[in-house]
Amino acid sequence: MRGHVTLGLVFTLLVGVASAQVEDVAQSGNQRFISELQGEETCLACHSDVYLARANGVKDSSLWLDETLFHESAHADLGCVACHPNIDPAGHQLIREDHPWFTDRVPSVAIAKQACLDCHEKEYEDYHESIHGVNRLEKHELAAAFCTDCHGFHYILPASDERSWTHKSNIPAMCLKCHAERGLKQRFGLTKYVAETFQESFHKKRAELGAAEVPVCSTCHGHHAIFPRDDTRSTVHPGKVAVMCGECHEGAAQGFGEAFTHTRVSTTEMRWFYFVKQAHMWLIVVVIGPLGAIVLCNAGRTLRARRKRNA
Amino acid sequence: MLKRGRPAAVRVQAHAPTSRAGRTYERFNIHQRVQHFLLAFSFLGLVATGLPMRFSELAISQRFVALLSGVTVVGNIHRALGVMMIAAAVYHIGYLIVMYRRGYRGTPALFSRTDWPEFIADVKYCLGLVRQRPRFARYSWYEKFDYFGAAVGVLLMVGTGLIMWFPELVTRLLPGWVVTTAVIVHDYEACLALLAIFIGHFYWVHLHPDVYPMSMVWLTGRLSEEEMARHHPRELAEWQNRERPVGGNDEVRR
Repeated sequence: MRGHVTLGLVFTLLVGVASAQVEDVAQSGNQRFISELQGEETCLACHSDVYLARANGVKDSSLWLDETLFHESAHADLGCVACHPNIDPAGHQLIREDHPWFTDRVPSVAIAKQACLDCHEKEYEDYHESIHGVNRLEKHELAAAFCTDCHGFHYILPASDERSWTHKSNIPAMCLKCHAERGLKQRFGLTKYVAETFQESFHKKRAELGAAEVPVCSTCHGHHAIFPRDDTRSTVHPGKVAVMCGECHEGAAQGFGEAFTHTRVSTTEMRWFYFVKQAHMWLIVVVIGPLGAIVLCNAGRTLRARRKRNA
Repeated sequence: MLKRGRPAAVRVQAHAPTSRAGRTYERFNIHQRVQHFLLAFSFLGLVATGLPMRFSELAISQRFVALLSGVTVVGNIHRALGVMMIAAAVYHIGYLIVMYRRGYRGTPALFSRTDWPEFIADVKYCLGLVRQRPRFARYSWYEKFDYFGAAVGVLLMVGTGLIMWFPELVTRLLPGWVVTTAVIVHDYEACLALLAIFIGHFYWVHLHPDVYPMSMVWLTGRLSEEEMARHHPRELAEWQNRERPVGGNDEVRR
């Protein structure tokens, strides 16, 4: 009996020691692995090789990155682990389904929580409160804009760089990726003619004609803390929009903001203006059409009369 | 563009021989020619600077604006020319007031009852239904239409242009939709004016086979006897009547 107890104790001890040892090995392995990754060259040895990434059955290119572009990016000095802290050796070869990045319904949210938040707390908080943030982080709407949707990921450049998505010249195109998308506009009840009204606006005209200081979307609507127009926190809220306009247009009153909106003159919106437009178009047709006809006929008649006179 | 004019003071070449070939009739005096020049110069300049700003998406507009060193410069030129157009209008209105005070009640370049039948007759001529153009007096229906169009057009373009120039001020006094409407009207009215001038006016004063390449009247202010006979026969007849020793309808009351 005693022997059994002893044996049992020994066995328990052995098992305990063994399992502790296994854990130990795993942990130290993870740490060793991560410490080895401190230089991003280790990762890039494989992840910058497009053939290797393909050979390992990687279907999309997210596991491959352009080394040159990455080194030019704003985060080149941070290396890989600063934003990818949870790489573990066991899960690395095979994508584990319980990996935190994949258990979250929106993997990029997890990335941002771990990656962006550490350094960009203020921006993250602003974003979190915004219409984009609320939809993405709380309502888990995958269509709502997220950090990476505007900034990209591996090749993030400062907004001052002309190649950056967030460079002033690229901002309209970037916002319109979603805001000109018909399905999204319907689903979220977005303003209908944002692209068209911006295209026709004086701001856009000045930009096209090479003016240096021209506002783009973010100039009026803000960057991270963007709210719908009827939200009092919005910079373009009807009660506050005059202040926003006044930053460039000295002495702009509330009516000024009402005159320049994203509401387009059409059959459904601003119908009175649509009528003014249509009336003018018909005026042009009714005046210029007969005028052109008379001019042509008169030219024909005069020429024929001259020919007769000369003959 | 025709202005309500002083009746042509005929330069009767004193004791001219029986041949009247060299005789000319004044159509526009120096004031009217200066007004026309101001209007024409500002109009063409406004078209040249306005079109590239309206069609800013076209490469040719962008190149043109770059050539003039930027949209701010082009905008300033456009506004300066607008001021020139206002000056032409003020000059013209002032001129009319002074002339009226001096007792002038001459042939107006405004539509009158005779214009509709003349217009119909002219259309019939164009369609080949009658052989002769109607015998126009000093101003034909088309010249009156030109004058009317210029008056209304300048009024609308200057009004809407000023609203677009000072939107901050305007929206302090008036609701925002005023500016929205002004932008639409400025756009379409410019299009209408441009087509009317380039199709209509330029035909009658440049491309018309009788005057091609250009009628000189906007510079000299005078029409020859032959031109008068062809384009304003009724006015010519009136002058010839008036010059008879007895009778004649003196329009100038001083």
